[in-house]
Amino acid sequence: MYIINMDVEQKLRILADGAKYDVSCASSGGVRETVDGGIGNSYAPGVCHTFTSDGRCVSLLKVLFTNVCIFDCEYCINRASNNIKRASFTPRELADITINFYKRNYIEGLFLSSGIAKSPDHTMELMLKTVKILREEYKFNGYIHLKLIPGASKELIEEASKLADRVSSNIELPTEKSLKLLAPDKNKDNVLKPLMFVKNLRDNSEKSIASASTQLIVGATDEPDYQILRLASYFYEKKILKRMYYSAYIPVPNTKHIKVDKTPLLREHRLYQADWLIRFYDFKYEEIVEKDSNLDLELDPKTAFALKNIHLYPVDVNKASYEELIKVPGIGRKNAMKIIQARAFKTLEDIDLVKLGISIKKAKHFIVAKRYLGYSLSPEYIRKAIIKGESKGHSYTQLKLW
Amino acid sequence: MVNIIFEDSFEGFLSALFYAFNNDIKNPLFLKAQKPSLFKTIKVELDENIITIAKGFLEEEIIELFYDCFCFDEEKAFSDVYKSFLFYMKNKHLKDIHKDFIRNLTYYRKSVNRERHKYIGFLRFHKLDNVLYARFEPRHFVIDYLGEFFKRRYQEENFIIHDLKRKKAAIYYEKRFSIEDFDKELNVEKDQYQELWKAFFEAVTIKERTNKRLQNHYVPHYFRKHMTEFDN
Repeated sequence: MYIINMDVEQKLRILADGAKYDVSCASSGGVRETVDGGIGNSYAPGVCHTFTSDGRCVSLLKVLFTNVCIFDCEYCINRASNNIKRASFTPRELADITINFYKRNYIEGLFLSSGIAKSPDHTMELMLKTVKILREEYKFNGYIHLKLIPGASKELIEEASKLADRVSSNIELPTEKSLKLLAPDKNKDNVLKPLMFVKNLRDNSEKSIASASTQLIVGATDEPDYQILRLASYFYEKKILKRMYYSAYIPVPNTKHIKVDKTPLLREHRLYQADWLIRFYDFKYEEIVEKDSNLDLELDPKTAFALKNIHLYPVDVNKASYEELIKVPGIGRKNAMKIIQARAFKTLEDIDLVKLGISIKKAKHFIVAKRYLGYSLSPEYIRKAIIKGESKGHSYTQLKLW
Repeated sequence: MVNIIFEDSFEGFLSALFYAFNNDIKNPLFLKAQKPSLFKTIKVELDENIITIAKGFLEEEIIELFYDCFCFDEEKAFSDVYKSFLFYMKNKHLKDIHKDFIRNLTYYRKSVNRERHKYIGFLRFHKLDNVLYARFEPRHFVIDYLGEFFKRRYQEENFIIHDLKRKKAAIYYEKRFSIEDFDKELNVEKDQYQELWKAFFEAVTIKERTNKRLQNHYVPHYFRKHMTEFDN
């Protein structure tokens, strides 16, 4: 491992490259307002400032403080035994890039993660120093996401969760067995404890404490989606996490235990769809994924649910409650509200739905308007029709998703 | 048909709506600037108290809706607002989305809001001597909204948000904010942080997952002209 003198641009290239596999980029949900004499506020809906040629949103300056690391996690590009160029920022350098990017409106704020140089506490301290320059010296009130370094002391974690809008600690793998295998220097405790600790702070503090998220690598080990979604539901239910991120494993050179070559991105996409249904549509994980198995890759989880529970359909758009409407594949929360508003004035026909801008391609199999739209056919038939409809003529919408 | 010319501001537009309503003008066409026309043309002066007057007849949220549609900045939108205004004066609500002109308002508002939101992210400022300068060519009139947004965000800075298409700018200078006619495009020079930004933009891309079509979907080419990270 070596560090040579290099200019800021080289450092930025290396340390952005090392951070890019962390998928979280959300800048939403912030509540900070500009302080007197300061700069920056958060914007609740979140902002995408640009999109890279892989189609991902860039919202935050997402970098590592350093990619030097004493850990040797097998799935990680920055692991100690990997022979790559190493670099470190100074707190001042990084704070200055952040503030100057912010003034030019390139970013909503900073996402700071890091390899572990020397010790967890040493690394966490350097990260906090950067954030303090921003928050205290520059009075910067834009969005900050801080990675909690596994094994850092409680005091530092507490400080981090007071300075940041979001903190995260990556669980990486859904079971301790897999974690032991692939990340021998980490254990369940030192990735989970910080999150529990932050939750307790949040419950017992008057001050604003950062919300928390985590990331799971999908496909490096053989846990099924069922296990992953059960874990996610647990965190949401206990209010430990605001969000869970899923990252389809991308092969890293020279791995011993990881057998797969590549996880389909589609699996990652289906997990996000299922996660969304759990968080915003009142679905239970057991309803959308069968025990010990994966989600259906061919169909989105709501459609898959509907076909398995065909007795709940068709739903009458002129009578159904909001809760029933949002369980219809192809009808989301906004469209459900539109339907409820529109039916106050007349009995809705299928053409009215189209006028309201609601796509009935999928929904038509599951609803009744003034007259019946569906073909009253078997789930097998609907399944084929939907899959065929999606691959034909709609390759564009399909492509854009992954 | 009658052309109604209003002063180019929301207050001017509202004044024209009330004028047409009060004088029971049939088939009015609302215009910002006078185009040669065969039809009768009336120029409506701005009424200084129009907002207060409007509040006496319209709910706050209706005024906001009309404002967003005014920002759509097309004659079709002006005329749908007028039809909705007439409907509202009669029925005291705008909830009947089976009426085309009412449903269109939702469309105008959505389009305007979408563009505002996009530019909150896509607007790029250049650092000139003592001012941050952004130029762009939006489809709708959005500089007022963006100006208010960046006024909160950059409260200690001076900035100019320049709409090249409409030759107007939102200017925030020594903590005073205004919308002005602005004809002159300022010179910008390269700076170190632009180069750093381009380097970052390249480095965060996952090459194995290149998907230009998806990128085009999110940042259509017409936005890129004034964005630092795209070569133009």
